[in-house]
Amino acid sequence: MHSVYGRLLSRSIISGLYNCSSSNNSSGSSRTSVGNSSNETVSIKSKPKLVSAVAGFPKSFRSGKVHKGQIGDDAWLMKNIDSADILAVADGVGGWRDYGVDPSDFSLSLMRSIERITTVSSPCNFRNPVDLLSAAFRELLHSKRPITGSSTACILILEHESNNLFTVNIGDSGFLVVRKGRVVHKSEEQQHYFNTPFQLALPPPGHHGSALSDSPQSASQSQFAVQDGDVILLATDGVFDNVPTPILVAELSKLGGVKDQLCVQQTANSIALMARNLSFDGRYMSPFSQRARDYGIRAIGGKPDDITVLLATVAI
Amino acid sequence: MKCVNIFFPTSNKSILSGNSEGLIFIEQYASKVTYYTSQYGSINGVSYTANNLMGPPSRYPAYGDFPETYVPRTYGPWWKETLVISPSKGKTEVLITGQDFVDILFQKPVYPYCVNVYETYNSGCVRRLWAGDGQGNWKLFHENHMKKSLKHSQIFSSEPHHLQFLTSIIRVEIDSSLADYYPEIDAVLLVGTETYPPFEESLKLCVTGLSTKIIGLGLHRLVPGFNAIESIQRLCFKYQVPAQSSTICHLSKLPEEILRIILSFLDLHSLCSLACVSTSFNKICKDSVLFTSVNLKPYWYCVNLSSLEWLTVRCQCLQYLDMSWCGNYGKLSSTDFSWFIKQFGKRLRILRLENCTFLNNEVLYWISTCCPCLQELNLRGCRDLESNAFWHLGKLHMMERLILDNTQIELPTLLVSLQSMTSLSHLSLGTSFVVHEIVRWLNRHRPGIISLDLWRNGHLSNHGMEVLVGLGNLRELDIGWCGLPPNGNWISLLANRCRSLEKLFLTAARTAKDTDLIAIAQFCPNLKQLDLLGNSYITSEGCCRQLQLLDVSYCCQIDAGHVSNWRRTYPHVSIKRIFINEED
Repeated sequence: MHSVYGRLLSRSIISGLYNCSSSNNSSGSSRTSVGNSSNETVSIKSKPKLVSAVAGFPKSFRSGKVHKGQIGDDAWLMKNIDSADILAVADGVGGWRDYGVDPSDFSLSLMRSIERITTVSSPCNFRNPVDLLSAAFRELLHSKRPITGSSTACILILEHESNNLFTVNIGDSGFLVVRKGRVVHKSEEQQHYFNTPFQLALPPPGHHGSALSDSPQSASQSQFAVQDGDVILLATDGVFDNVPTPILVAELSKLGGVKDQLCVQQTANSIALMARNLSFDGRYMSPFSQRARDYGIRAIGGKPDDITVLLATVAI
Repeated sequence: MKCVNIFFPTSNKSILSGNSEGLIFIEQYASKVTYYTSQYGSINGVSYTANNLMGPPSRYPAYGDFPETYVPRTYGPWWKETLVISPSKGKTEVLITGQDFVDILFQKPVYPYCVNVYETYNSGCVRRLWAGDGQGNWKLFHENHMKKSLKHSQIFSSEPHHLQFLTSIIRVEIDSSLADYYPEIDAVLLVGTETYPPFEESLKLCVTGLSTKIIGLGLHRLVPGFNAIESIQRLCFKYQVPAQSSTICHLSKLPEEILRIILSFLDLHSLCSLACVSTSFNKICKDSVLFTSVNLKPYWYCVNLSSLEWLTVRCQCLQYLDMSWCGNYGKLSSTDFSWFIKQFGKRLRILRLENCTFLNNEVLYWISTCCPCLQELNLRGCRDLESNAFWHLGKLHMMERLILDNTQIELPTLLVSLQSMTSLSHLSLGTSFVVHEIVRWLNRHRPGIISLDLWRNGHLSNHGMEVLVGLGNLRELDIGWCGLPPNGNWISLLANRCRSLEKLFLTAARTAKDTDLIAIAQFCPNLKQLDLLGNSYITSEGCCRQLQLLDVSYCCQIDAGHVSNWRRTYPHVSIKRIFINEED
């Protein structure tokens, strides 16, 4: 457990993991490069406006994969491009495992798809992030290797020019924005029934009729301005189902607008650890159990699940 | 994976360090793709599309099939053999063009020195590199002799030399006819100088470079006292005066008819050169009989109004005209071409205008009015044509082969145009619109259709499949990347009803099962080409006697072991399976 944690920690400390500029340029001294944002001598990208970190735990260390961009069945994305900063999470629906489909495939492919689209189509329309989500979903159909499964998704885009945060959310992952100790924005969960969130799906051929599949158009969008010092938490339901919102707010307020990468990382780690410990506590009245009782199910304890925490401070 | 770097950085460094006064080399990656003939990916997607050529390489030096690269639509000899294109009756041209090209714009215009093309799959497909100024003027920068594709990634690097032509666009001409599978290109790098070095400077550069190579290879030891630089300079300035020849021409004593038959085997270039020999040859070479089929595609870079004017004397009996790739960047205007077609269209049977940007509403009007005998019309890749321009096609009653891949034609216009084409037997529509409408119409009005290309045309519903299987005379069918309905035995039914199928592409149909393959093997004995990319439910398959091409890439239940067994057992079949990169 320690070794995995240590690896997570060290991975998470590296910011800007999805800086896709490659260093393939030859380094001859008499050469100059023009118009490429990847050259060390010419810096064209504007400074990122988010100081961000990622932390998390897979549900099971034995079977859950932990790679760059993937924690168990969850997948995440942190990316800076010229005009915006992008944070995204996707929670792969684990039920597909019974049908022989790997649930982490869909969520990871969706995140990679978003990354490719934002790299290649540079005048990307961020004002309608639903378009980005639809395009990324459609792109999965164009993969030669068949991709099946389903996941939720939540994308946050901070546009540098306007300092507005554009969000799109489908399913039960979500985000929280805290300013001076108070919640200013919180996403709405979208569920069909208890524990059955809205999900983007590509069912395998035999199961088209029986599987839930929601269109990207049913995602909820929002847009609001952010200020310097705001703290943004983007997480999958492993966090929101186990840690009550007031505790999350308290943790985020402790960060209080500090823009140090290490502090943000520490807070992300502590939230992830908290969620992890609570999820395996059998006698704790978690938000998940509370809601189950509202539906008439006598549940108690946390909800073991993959935990993914993306935390960012706005530094304008 | 091993990476072979043809570009010798070490020798270049020595050149550069020796001549650093005032000669600054600028390296640029592509900033924009201005034009491409075809691409494997869909128009609004990011996988396998032309826009992936922008910027530095994303995957090189890895070798494999990556969606972050540019892939052309076709490869190998398979598409040349399709029935959609009329059997070729034109003269064999000596200058062979590639199948595709991509025009790449660089931010800063330079005098080019070297171009590197980063290839990541089936390398070795670059045939020519052209330098363009963006106004329609092109100079050949590098020509390559095609060999079989390589199984490792490489940087294809042109021979470094200075070209005195301010370049902002590089055209990469791709020839995939010898490629084993789809070639993939990751990025293009242009190395050039802001100012053109004076002649002595560039000569010194070339000579120093050559002598370094000679010394590097140890050749200078072969001849004692060999001084590389002196010898090369002597070679460069050697000049031979051609010997004087007699003025009697025995060839002109042959009867004209025999001469005409001999000359009919000549390509256009040689015919023009021959016309300069003497007045009698000039007269014979203007004969219209020699110009019944004209292919200007290999000369795309210099075709303009004067070329058309030159042809007017010769084209009274023009029946086949290929002007694909010609006239882009404003070299030829729609008025010029309309003027030409008005005079010489009346006997035209085959007209190929792939990737011509001068086409517009006016041109199509004149084509449909002045070419009543037109049997084949190829407008592949003419993306600038507005949809309403296609209304005029309805006048072409004798049309048999209509190729509208990658155009913006819309359903209502298409239906109206097809209404009067009673002998239509081959239809190619690689664009995306509601596919089952077309299929339904074809089922009702043209059930005898022989070849149908609906690649990436959108989702086929149950009803669409129902009418598709009704086209019993189909010999070629491409429904790649059209989603098939998830339930039902449509593929088996298709095989059962369309027993003359020779080419069947079910790329990414996802629903193909073993029972479908058994049906195909049972009912389609003539099947030559079968593409099953991306179907995860097939495990084994029967092999048709005539099968020539089988693509089982990304079928996860068929592994490399199976494929090598099949290749041994069925040596006459080309079995394609994409090399799976261990990283993915």
